[in-house]
Amino acid sequence: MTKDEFYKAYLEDPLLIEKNYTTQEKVNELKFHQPTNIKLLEVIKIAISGSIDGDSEAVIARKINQSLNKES
Amino acid sequence: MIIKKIELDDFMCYAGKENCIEFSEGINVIIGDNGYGKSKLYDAFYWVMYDQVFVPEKKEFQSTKSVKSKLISDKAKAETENGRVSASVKITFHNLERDSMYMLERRYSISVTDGNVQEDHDGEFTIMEKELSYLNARMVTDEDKKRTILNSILPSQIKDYLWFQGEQVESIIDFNKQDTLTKAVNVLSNISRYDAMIEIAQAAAKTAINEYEREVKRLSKDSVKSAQLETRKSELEGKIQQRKREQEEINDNLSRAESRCEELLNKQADAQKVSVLQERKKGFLSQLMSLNQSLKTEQVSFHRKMFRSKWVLKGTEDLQRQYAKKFSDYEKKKLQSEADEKARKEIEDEVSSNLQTRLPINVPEPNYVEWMLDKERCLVCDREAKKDTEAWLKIKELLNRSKEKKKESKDSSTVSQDFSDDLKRLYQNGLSLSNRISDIDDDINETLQRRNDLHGRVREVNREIENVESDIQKLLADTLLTSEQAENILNEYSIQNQKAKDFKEDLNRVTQEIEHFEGLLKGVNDQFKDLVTGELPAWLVEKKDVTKDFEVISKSTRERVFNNLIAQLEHEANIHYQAMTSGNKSTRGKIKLRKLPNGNYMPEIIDSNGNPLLGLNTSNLILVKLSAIMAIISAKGNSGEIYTLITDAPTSVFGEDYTIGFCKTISKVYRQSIIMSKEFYKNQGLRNELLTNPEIKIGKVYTITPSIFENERADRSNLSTKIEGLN
Amino acid sequence: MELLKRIKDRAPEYDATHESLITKFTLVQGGRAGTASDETAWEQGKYFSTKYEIYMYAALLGLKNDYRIPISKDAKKEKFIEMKHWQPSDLTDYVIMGIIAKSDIDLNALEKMEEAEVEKQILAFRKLLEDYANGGLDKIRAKVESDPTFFDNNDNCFIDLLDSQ
Repeated sequence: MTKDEFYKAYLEDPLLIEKNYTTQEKVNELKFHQPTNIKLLEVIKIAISGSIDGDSEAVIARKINQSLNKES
Repeated sequence: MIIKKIELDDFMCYAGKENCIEFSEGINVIIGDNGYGKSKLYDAFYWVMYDQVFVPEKKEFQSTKSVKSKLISDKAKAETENGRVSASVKITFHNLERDSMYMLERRYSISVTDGNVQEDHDGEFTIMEKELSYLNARMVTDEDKKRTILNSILPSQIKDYLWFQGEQVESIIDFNKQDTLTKAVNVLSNISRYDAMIEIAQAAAKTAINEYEREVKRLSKDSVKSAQLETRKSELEGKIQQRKREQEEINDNLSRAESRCEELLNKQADAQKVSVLQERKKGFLSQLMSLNQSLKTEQVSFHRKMFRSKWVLKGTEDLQRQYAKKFSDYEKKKLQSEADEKARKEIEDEVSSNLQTRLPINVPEPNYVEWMLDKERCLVCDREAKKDTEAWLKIKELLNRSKEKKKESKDSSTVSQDFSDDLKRLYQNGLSLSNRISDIDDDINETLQRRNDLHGRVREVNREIENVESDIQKLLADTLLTSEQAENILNEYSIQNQKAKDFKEDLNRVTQEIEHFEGLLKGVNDQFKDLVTGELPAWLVEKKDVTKDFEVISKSTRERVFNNLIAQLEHEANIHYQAMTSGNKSTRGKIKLRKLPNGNYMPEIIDSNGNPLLGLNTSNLILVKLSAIMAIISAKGNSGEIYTLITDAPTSVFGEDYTIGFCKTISKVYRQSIIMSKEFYKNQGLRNELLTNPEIKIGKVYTITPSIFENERADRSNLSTKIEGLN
Repeated sequence: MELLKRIKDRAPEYDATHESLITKFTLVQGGRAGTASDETAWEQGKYFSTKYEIYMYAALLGLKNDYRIPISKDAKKEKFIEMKHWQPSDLTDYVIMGIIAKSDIDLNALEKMEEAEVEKQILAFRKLLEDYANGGLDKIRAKVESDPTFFDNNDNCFIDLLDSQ
């Protein structure tokens, strides 16, 4: 499974639209390598990358937390 | 890779070094009845690859270390007093793309000294590689390369779905077991990655929330109150956690009860068959009882006939004849003597009639007669009667007459006994009995015949009982019922049903409690927020929210992906199921995998309206499972092209129609398959169909026959197996 | 008095050494007449329900093979029930017939004998019967000794024995 395929699986989740993170149209076009302003999506990408690259859970969790610190 | 051939040397029942089976593409079939060596052949394949064989008594795989010399043919062991004996199996694989061959061989040896066995340690495993363009094969020595080759032949992830025994079908893919279900789904797509994501999200969210709560506490204006709230919060969280665990447990129990109910409904049809057979058995048993009763009566009366039917007189005709002669002699003599007596009497009578009869006796009285004789004168006629004259003699006669009479009566007073009546009775009795003597032999034979007939019928009925009993046992084995279960199905069903209801109630209760506590928790959290002075940093709030959402999304995505995979599996399984049941007139329905409360699934067959078809009996269930197993392979792209299916699926459970459907489907899904079957053993028609049906891509077909049949196997030292190719 | 009745008033005796042989094959009865059934006899593995049955069997066996053995003078003897009680009576009569046939009695002379003489003769008949029966019992005993399995595994044993010489 490629990172993109993995990513796409999460993009299909209705929560993204319900909580107004993004819209249906935008979701369809997103690709893994495309940066977004949506924090949740970036978090997902960090997790995907870390998981596929073999990082430990603790390490990935920390990266996520870091990424959410004091960013706007 | 394709399997080209397998060579078995002194492996279990395959004695000798000439056991070689070649395979081609398509469906290769090994035909043999129970106990003929099909499972051992499967073991041979498995042994080479995994160093293990299936031990049926323990229903588990055991390694060479445990099984040891049982791997070696008894015949080979018996024939060796001193020396080394080995079992070995060699499989030749052909890699079509690279046009190379791999020969995998495993060997286990023992030494025998004076008939005593000394076990070896492990055995040897070698892989030889041969490029077809070269003549020579090379040994593969690199351990990593060996592992790669093994994995390319049969990847460990899917090996259970490609090489399996009939007994394992039930358990390979138990939809209500999280582990087998996940394992199956994992083949299609790596669901464990999604599980990992959930772990990550949970960890991240936990960290974020801790940070947030610490900040809230720090900004709280009332530290006392805040501490109180903290305590309350932990309390509530604890309660929620506990109830969540309980909820999980109940869900699990509920799922088990529900699927057990389903299982029982399915088993009912089979239980019915069993009880029909048991009725038949009862009928035979009562027949047997009455036959035995008749037999006993026959036997009891048999010896009585000695006297009642006079059998004891056999051979005594001579006695009767001797007696008859004696009796007739007696009678003759008696008659004779009677006749003599009569004649004598007549003469006497004549004589006495010549005596003086003019006068009555004692007239005149003897005195006067004496006086007349003295006087020498007749007083009646007053004439002279001189002594010794005719007249004087006549007078004397009168005297003698009475003396004669006296003498007569004295003689007749010695009259004899007359036994003739008794003797005659004995004669007549003897005659009538001896007339029956000639019939005695026939009578005895008739009686013996009757008794033998009864014995024969008793044996027959016993045989019938044996047959029915073995049918019952077979049915119980095939359907995995025990005979108590067969009888108690309805009972158990209502018990399980009740349990399910109870669990549902419990579930409701617990769910409500969780909701309640979560509500309270929210209240506490709000109170916390109220205590906060100043502003919480926006980024922190966002962090908490985003990680929380990440947690939620990771869980729901996992579930969605999992469900999709199940749907995919269901869809693919239905393709196979429809194909296998297409030949059948009876309703076959569609496979549906229904989700259970604990997140697992239960297989059902539904009709076109989505309603479950009652009575998924064992044969349907096996078909569903086989469809699912094949779906796992076929859904994963072209696995069927690359890997060989080896199975001795219990086709006997299906019946004829499904067996052909099964073979058709197999030949479409897998480029090569090796099937062991007993179905084709007895059924010639089915065999012909297999060999001639154009929709079945047939490979090589063999029959195997043991040299000694199973029920005569007390002495195994001569056991070998004959392999014959049919095409 | 009638001949038959007088003969049947007697109760013959057998050599006590045959007792175990007799009880091996005969149902032991309680009391004189005995009340056990045929079934009991079969269940116990016995072939004869009463002693007189096996006695009749032995007598006929002896008679038909012309095999008699006088009971030795100093042998202990056992008595059993009078012949008039033997069943079936026609078989009993047949046995008596056989004895008379084999004896060297002059029937005609018998009729003319004195009472005392007749009595002596009847006793002689009884003795003859005892001799033949003893012979028959001896034959059975010999068979048991030489071939015990003949009786043990063979439900038809006494019937088969009827054929023997």
